[in-house]
Amino acid sequence: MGPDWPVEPVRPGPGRSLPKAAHDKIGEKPLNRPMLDPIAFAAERSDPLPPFVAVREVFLRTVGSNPLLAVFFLARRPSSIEFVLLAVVLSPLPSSRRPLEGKTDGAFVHQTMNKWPSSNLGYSEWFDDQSGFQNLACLSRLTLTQKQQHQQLCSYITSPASRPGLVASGLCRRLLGLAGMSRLQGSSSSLKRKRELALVSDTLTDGERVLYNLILSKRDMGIWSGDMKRETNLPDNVVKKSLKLLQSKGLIKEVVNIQNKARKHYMAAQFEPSKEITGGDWYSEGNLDKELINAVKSVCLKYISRQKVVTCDGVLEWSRKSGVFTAEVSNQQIEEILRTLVLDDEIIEVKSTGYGDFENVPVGRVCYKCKSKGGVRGEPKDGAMSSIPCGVCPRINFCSPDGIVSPRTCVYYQKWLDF
Amino acid sequence: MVSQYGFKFAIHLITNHFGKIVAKVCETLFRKGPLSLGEIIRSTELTPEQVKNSLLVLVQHNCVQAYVPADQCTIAFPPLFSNFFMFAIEIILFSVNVVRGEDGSMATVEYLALFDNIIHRLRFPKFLEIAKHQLDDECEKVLDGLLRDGRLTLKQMVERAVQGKENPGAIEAVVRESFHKLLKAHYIERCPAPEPVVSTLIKAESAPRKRGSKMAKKFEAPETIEQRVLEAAVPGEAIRFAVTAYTLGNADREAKSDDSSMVNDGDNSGKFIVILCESLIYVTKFYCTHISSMILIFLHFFTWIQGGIANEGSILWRANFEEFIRHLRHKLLVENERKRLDDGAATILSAILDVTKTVEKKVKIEKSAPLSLDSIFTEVTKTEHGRTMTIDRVRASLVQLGCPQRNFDDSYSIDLKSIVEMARNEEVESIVLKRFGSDAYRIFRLLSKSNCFLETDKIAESALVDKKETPRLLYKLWKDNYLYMEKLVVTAAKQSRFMLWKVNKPLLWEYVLDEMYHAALNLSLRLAFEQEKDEDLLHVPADKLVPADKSSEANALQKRYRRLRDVLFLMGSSLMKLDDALMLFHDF
Repeated sequence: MGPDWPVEPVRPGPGRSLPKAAHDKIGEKPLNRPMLDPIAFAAERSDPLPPFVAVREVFLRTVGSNPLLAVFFLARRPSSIEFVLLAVVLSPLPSSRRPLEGKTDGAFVHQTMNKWPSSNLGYSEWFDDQSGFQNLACLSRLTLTQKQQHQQLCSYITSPASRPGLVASGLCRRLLGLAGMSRLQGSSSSLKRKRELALVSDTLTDGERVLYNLILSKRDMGIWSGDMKRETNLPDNVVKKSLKLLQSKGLIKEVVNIQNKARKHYMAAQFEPSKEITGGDWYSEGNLDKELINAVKSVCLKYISRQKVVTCDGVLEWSRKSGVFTAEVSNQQIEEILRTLVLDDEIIEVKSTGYGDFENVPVGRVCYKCKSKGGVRGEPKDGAMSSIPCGVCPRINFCSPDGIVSPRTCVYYQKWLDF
Repeated sequence: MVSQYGFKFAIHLITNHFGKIVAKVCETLFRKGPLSLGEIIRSTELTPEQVKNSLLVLVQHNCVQAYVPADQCTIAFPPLFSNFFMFAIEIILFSVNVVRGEDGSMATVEYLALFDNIIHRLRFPKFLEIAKHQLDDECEKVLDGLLRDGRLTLKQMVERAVQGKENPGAIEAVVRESFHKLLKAHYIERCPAPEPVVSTLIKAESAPRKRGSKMAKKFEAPETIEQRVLEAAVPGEAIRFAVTAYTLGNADREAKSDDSSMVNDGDNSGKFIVILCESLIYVTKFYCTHISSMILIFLHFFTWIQGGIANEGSILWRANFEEFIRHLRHKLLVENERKRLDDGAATILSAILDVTKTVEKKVKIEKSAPLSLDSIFTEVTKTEHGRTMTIDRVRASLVQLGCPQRNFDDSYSIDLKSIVEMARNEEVESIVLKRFGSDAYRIFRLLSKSNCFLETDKIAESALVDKKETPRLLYKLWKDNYLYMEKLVVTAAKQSRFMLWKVNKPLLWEYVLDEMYHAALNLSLRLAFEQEKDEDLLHVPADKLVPADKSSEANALQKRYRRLRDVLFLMGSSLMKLDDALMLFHDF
């Protein structure tokens, strides 16, 4: 039993601190340990398990019955320090844990890390096949797409009654962002990736390998299928077939390119699409999340209207202290929102003079204050031209005194003068 | 350069006020530029009598100015004289020589349509309101007469006021007093010279540019023919607001004295100097003499010999549109700052503008005349709202008004041009918001503020507009001339095309102004149409419109009347509001 290829022990990265015993334990080849029968184990448990974790009862044994944590484990690579902390926070009481045989509690995380689908260790026994290809097939089944992860996360966050959907989706995004970061972090993960690449390339056909290498080289920018054809000079049918297969193997994924939604854009599975592809922080599935933006704008505007002057840092600090956004917002995001409010003419940007209202602000610092419009706040003043039909008429260029469109026959005037 | 709809609107105003024949002459002058009488007759295909009468009406109402092009004169006669008598001899000798053109024919007088003065006719109600509020009702009546008749002498103003009234003496006194008040406030002025000689050649650069000079030469648009004609025609400052020729522009003195008839008192030598100066002004301005100028000079000489009585019957007066526009500009500046800042800043700005009004050489000044803080403070404390202000408050408001640093001589001057530009930006932005929506509004404001080229994606990111929507909105704005676009092709590994966008404010403002003229024309036409539609209502006796009558016919009539009244009120007030915007973009 066990894989035919040499297995190297997993060493903890620099950010981790473990008892010495754990280090020693990690040095053991986990394949030497007896494996549990997953089906038997599931039968022993009285509480039902979500289907997608049924195969991963090993994790459940160590992390307890918190399905959320299980989902995190599924969705994340083990190399992320944030994830580790999250796992620790969300994990159940020690008494409910069932440590793996031969392991202490302090090292359980690393024990579970040894069982990751991406690692070569231990899962091969769960399946009756011996071929690398089928192992890869299993790996692909185990890996969820980002969208599925998002949906599952949201479904496991508490109900809308207790937390607004905005917060939930914001939290999801944040966590997904962490996941995206976590996929790229850590020196040990690069080592692991190299091993995976070596494994993967050996199991691909020539066409698939060429395409996969090309896609991988594009990292978080991805590549359009048309560009792939051009760069690889592969026939169209080969490209299509290979892409399908790579996708089914979970090596690549299709992402929405905000620049051109109609085009099929592919990226290696381990990368999160960059800002140029997604559109940025305010985009969701290729669309600008206007509701989110308007909600954040409204909250910021209400705060600013209660103050004489505010700075960007002040708004950020207030948002963190008040907890109005349960997801963390960055300074840049607040700045973008404030800039948009300036463009909406809701607030004005001024520089501090150090006197009067600017007493507490250093001289020269950029500040914002609410703009009173026409003497009555909130009511925009109509211009002279915009308050008559001609001012907003889309046909003014076609209008002439004796033409088909003329002031005498104009329907907009008719409406305007209909008292 | 006046836009297409600007001309159309001006012609519409002339048609409404003077009829189609006069409008046809005016239109010909607009289309073909300054023309002589013969050329106008040929172009309009009207009879000479009709054209002459039309020109008389237009000149009378200050809508057309006659002049003689200087390049048609072959004789250039610099006024060289050592004393008055030598000057008189030279003039007499010269007057024998007839001014001739190159081919020996008489130099022809050309007629130039004055676009600005025609558009001012739309604002007469505003000018009357200003006179009423600044001065009194009697001044308003005198001004009303001047606006209706174009030009009047003082005698004619009196005759007009006393016509059919009892107690003409008292009325005459009131009219004279009002006249002097208007003159003191510079709301009326002497009429310009009838046919000044004007050079129509464009001046070449006077000095060659130094090579390697790092100072960029500020581009100044060449003077238009209209500007030159007006400059040549306007009387000198010494006499422009003077009641008689025997003062050096001190209208106050004239107003206080008994001016029913001027007595030849005082200094004869002073009068001699005045005539000499006047003559100098006329001759040097016109550069080569003209028969009418000669006549004027002799007239003054003659009246000097006569002993000089106030020439109430010969000096023509008209409304000084420039002063009214200046007043409206100041009003806009103050109101805008009141809205943007507070009442205190508005009070201070108003005080500054009142004090510096008299030194303004033209309406469209960019900065207010420099004033020291003490002078500003003194003026502010004289006002009702500024009485309780401290000097620190005044200083703080000056900073808010955009005047943070004093000039090198410790004086302050306000940047008025920026206030006008802000008002223009607001007006254009409100059009964009209403016409194209809030996303386009944000994009437009972003480009307007940045005042440089921005790429499409950068615009989408900065304005938080959907990246798919952004090109569509930009294209809409560009198609309607609100944006300027350039394409940039970058050839690297792959050819990339970028679209760069910018707001070109001078071009945009010209375009918006044309749209405003178009809208003003449409409003006027629709107003006329609504009046025509319910013209019969204007002839219905008032008792039939009395609400007490409950019959259905009366009800319908009342309903129609109410509707017409509301329509006229709405459209009239909209037109006045639009006129404010026209002034903002053209006159301020």
